[in-house]
Amino acid sequence: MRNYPVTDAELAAQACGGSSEAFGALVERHTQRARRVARAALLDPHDADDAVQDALFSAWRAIGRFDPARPFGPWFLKIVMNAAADLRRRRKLRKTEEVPESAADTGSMPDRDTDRALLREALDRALATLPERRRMALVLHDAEGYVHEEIATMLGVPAGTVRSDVFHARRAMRAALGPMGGND
Amino acid sequence: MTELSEFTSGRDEELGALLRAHLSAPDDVVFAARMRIAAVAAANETAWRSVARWTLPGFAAAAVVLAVLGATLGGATPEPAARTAAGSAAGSLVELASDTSPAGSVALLAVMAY
Repeated sequence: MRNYPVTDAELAAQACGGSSEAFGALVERHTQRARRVARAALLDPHDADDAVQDALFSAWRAIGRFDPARPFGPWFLKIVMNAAADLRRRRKLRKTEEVPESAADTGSMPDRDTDRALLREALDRALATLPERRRMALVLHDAEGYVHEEIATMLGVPAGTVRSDVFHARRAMRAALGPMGGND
Repeated sequence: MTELSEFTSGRDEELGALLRAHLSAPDDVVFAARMRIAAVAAANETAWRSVARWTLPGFAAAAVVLAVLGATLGGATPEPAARTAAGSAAGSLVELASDTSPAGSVALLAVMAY
């Protein structure tokens, strides 16, 4: 009897073979990360959830083409980012005249702690000022722990570009957050 | 936040933690569980549709072939009323088979089982 958890590779192999349960387990494992990435891409929690759901359907349709020898996470995140881009295009078509009050509005819940609320606002603003590719490179690298080469594959740019994007994004975040952002 | 040069490949752990916390939501675990259910449902529905798309017309065709073979090998000329009933049944089967919705598929399988 096995007493170790099923690996992503095992689940991916089963999902490729048509197992809906294995696919569901994989999706559950990677959804929290996917949700964070979608939020970073769209800067809107509701749109982000829609994008994750769209990605889930796309991933199942494409699972036959997935190589189970490769990590599932980056493959799924790439689908999530594509879904986010599609959603943004659709939303733009619908909201051509609607200008948001704040580009950084993420519909976050009211905070009791004023400092935390201020930090949240500052982070929203800082993230919103970053060009999308830099924002994604920063989140994928510093928040999600992917290496430059993996991010390069996900974003479809050279690894050197990712390195540069992360550097510039960090500098912009540091400038935008000031003393709120940490120890400098 | 850690001061890093452009050529450093390490992570800024502090900024990373800040971003992770900021982009996470209190209901992340519940959302993930919901997505699992949605994923399984989507996968099962797709699989069922695929089965329905390719199998049911096959069943219908087989039923029609069996009906024709039965009439031919039986040797007897069916009565007009029986012929009409057989034609009508075959038509219904084809109609059911072309309905790829789960309800239509279930109905056809019920007919086949009967």
